[in-house]
Amino acid sequence: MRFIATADWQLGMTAHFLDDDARPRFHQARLDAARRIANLAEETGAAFVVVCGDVFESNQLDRSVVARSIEVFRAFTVPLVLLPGNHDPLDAASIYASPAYLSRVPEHVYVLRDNEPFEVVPGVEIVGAPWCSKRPVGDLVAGATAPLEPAPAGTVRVIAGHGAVSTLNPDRDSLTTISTEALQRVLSDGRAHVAVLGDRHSTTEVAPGIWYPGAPEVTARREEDSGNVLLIDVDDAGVRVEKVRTGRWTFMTVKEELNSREDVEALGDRLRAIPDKERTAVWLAFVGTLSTGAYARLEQILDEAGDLFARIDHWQRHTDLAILPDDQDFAQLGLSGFAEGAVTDLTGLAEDDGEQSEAAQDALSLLFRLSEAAG
Amino acid sequence: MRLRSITLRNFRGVSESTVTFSDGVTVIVGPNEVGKSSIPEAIGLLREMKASSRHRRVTAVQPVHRDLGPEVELSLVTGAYELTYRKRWIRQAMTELRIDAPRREQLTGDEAHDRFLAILNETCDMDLLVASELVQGNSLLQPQLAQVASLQRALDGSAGEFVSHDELMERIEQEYERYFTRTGRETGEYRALADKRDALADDVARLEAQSEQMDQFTLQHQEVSAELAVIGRKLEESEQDRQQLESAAEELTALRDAVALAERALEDRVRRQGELRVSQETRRELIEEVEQRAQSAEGLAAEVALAQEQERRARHASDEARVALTEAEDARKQARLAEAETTSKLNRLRSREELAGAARRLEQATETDERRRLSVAEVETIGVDATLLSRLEELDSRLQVADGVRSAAAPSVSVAALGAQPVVVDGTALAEGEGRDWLISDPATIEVEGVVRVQVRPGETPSDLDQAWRHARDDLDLALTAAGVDSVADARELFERRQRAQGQADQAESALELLLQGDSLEALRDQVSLLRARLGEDTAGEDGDRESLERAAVAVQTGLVEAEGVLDAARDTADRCGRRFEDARVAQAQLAATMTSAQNEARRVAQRLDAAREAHPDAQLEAAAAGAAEEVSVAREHLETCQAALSDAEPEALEMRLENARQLVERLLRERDGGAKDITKLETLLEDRAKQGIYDALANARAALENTQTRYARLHRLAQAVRLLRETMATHRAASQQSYVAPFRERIERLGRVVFGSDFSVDVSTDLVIGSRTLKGVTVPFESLSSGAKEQLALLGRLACAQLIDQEEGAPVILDDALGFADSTRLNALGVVLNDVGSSAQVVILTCQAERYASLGSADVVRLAAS
Repeated sequence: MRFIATADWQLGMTAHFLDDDARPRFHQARLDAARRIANLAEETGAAFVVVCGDVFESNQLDRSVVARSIEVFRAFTVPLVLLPGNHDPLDAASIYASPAYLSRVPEHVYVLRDNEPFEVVPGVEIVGAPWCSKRPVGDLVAGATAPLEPAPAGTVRVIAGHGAVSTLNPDRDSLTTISTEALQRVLSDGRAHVAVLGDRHSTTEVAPGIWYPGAPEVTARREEDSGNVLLIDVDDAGVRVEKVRTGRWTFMTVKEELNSREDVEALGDRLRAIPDKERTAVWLAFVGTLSTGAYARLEQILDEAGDLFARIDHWQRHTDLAILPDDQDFAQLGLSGFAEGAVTDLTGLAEDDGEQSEAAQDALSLLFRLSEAAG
Repeated sequence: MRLRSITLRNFRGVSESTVTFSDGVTVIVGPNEVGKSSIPEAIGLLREMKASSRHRRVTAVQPVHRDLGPEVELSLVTGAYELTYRKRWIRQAMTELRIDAPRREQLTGDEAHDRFLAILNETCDMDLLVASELVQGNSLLQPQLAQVASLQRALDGSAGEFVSHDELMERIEQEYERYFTRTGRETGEYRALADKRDALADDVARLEAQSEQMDQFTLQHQEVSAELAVIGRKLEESEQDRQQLESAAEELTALRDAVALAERALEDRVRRQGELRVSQETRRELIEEVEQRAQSAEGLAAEVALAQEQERRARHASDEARVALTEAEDARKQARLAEAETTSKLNRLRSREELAGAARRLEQATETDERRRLSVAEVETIGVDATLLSRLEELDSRLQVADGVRSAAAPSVSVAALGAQPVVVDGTALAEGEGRDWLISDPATIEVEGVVRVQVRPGETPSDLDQAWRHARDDLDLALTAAGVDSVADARELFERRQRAQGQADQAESALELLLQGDSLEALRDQVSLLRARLGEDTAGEDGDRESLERAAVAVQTGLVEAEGVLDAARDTADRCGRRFEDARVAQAQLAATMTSAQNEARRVAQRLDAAREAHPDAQLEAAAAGAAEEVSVAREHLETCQAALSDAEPEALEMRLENARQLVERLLRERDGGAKDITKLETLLEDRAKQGIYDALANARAALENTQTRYARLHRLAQAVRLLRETMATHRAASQQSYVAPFRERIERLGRVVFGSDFSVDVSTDLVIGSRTLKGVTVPFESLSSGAKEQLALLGRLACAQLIDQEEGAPVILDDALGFADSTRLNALGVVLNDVGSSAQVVILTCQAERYASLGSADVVRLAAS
């Protein structure tokens, strides 16, 4: 038996850090990823697709987003099973209870509304641990699996949950933490064959048979390995998991040490070499010291890159770049008399590391630019 | 550049004149028309006007009325060059340049003109040339030194190179104005982004609040749902509880009914028993009543007999009393008649006595009245009253006075009879030894018979005194006549008679008043008439004397009083007896009626007892009463049993529990309904919020905010950078400019202290213009200075410039008729300054007054004479 496990579609998610033109593309990318999963299911002969929570970004989404999402659900030719997560809990505001959803949803789409084992296809049960509020008060997966008896012979049982697991959760005291140990016992006791979880956007194997499929399309800079789904086979031989790439967007951090014009040029080359720039967001973090001239060049390179990438950003918190004029910078500009004195003052301020340091660096850069233009 | 010599030919009024310049100060002296001012003009034309020019400046210097071409020949040294340059305009125009050093050259025409200018440009600062010329009429203006490159070089050399960087500064300014207004406020996109950022932050906050609210609604929904579930369970339990209690309550009702039934049964029995008791009692009372009423009737019969006896006695007494009363009435009637007669007699007697008295008083009064009337009549006939008499006496007295006064003025004569010889004065004889005085108002005669007769006549009396006396006399006479008397003495006698008559009248009046006793005479007369009429003929009377009559009257009165006393007593007795008789009669009748009624009632009661005994004999009543008591006892026992059963069932506690259960169910139902309403309300709110797509709106707002913040941060950095750059550059430029002008300022001050004193200082702007002068601590702007001071400062500027500039590069300072505004002290001081400048620079002074520069130490003085 083969099925696709995925999670954290976060449909309707808006990346506020993107530019106005990139944002709609990023928004669409999540729907496109879902559509690719539909195709993948068909291509690989998966019996069903289970989405482990956070199908929607929020219960407060515009209902037009729900309508467009359901259009994508229609593309699935196999049962599509949705688990409410912390972003789209089954509470009073739930999308799954809204007329916009209920009036449109096709028959092959199911929502796991309780802990009752759901026979998605003959011989396969899914036991879901849906979130019914944003702040549940316990290990929902433990609650869902507690009453389970060992799976009947010939029945494959899949646990679908959502939340941080105890072995990976930095906040071990959180009430909602899913006990990895308990879940492992469920598998070892034969009460289920495999457990798939949502919430962690990077594809992760928690323990044998326990997986986070991750988000099928990147959502945040810090994700290590998002943009995948899991193709899972369960048979007599056991459980086999294959990671399949679905993401098209890249969020990357570029850290460089810049100390010379050559370094700046090398950075330019590196940026130019990045493919699919319109689907790539780059956070830049620099350290080092640049001359005013080299910094002016850096700004020029970044200005050009800004037009190409979905997002290119100085990551201020991680940037420690000093811009200081060197003798050559202003010597060749023919600045003399009082302008020289001004440059000396500004350089002093720039090197001073005081309050005006940054403004002084910028002022030097500006002076450089204006002097060049003034010839 | 240094001038060597200049020759003017046919130039304005000069036919030909040559001036040789010294290397220091040359003073060229000559009247205006001689052409001293033509020298700088000629140098200017040489430089600027080609020989072929017909410019106004050229035609203006042609000699008047002479068709000759003006010509100028100038020898000078500039840089390495030594040359002579000659030009003639208009007639036989020519240009000639001869260069003696460093290489000999000879050029003519435009070639010469161009070469000359080229040499000047190569070796001189043209701006300095212009600036150094102080042309007549311009002396108050400061030279334009800012553009003088040689001065700039000189200044740069001393304080570092000054580069204005105008284009760069302009660009910085333009860049600054992208972000800030001139007053330093944020503007343009920078400002707009800040505003937009604030607006977006507000949007985000608002949307976040909405989102938060929606979450709150969701949470509330969850809480209310949970509460509703709890309420549902409680409701179920409470309902069961209530039903059980309701069943228990129904059983309780049956017990209560039994108690009520037993109570009613007991009541019936008790009532029956009571009724029988009443029957027995009634029977007993009836028997007693029969006996009592019989006794009562007998007693009444005895009382009636007694009353009849008393009535008879009372009638007898009453009859006797009436007879006595009639007798007493007769006696009193007799007494009254006797009294009336006696009184009548007495009255008549009194009237007669009264008439006699009144008639006597009337007679006396009539007589007195007659006397009074006579006296009054006499008073009235005498006209002299007290007033008149007083008037007459006053007039008499006046006459006496007037006479006295007149007499005092008249002569008097004293006559004394010395012996027995009679002396007669005016017929009056004097006795022996007698002496008398006579007033001589009329002629008088003194005679001693036989001896002498003396006629004495009064002199003339003063006429006014005489007149006064006559007036007094006339007044008195007039008054006497009017009073009808002859003299005042007569008048006095008449007045005394009048007084006496008045006294008699008053006396009569008093007597009359006494007689009449307040009445009038007429009233007294009427009274007498009335009394006479009343008595009629019976005025004499035969009723006896007054004393016996009065005694009889007293006796009759006493008799009457006694008769009335007897009558009153008889009337009281008759009344009392009559009332007693009546009372006795009524009492007897009432008793008789009561007795009849009592006898009848006694008969009826006896009949009622008979009838009752016939219906229920006394023994039967006794037996029924005993049975009823037994039944009451049984019913009471049954009631107690039922009450005990009810009490065992704890009815109050049960009812309290039941009431609580009912109210609990109601309360839970209410809470359930309330919860359901809350749920509906929250669902409606959630549906409404869900439609708003808060997430998308918030995400968009956040994106816009972040974008704006990023853009703003970038602009902010740029703005801070350009502001810092602008400030830094401005600060440095100002400092640089200050250090640049310092040597120039110091030079002016050095020279100026000679002229103005040791505390002289100036403020020089960066374009090398003197802004103000400070002297004795007082700073005055250049424009506000006196003309003399302005002229002297402007000259100092030029001279300072000349001293600063390198000698090789310098140009001669040409002063045309300068210092017209300076006084001799200043002129002397300026002479010192010019001498100092002349040691390092060429100075040419053109003047028409040589004495202005007399104190100038090293000057060469050249006098121009008219040709």
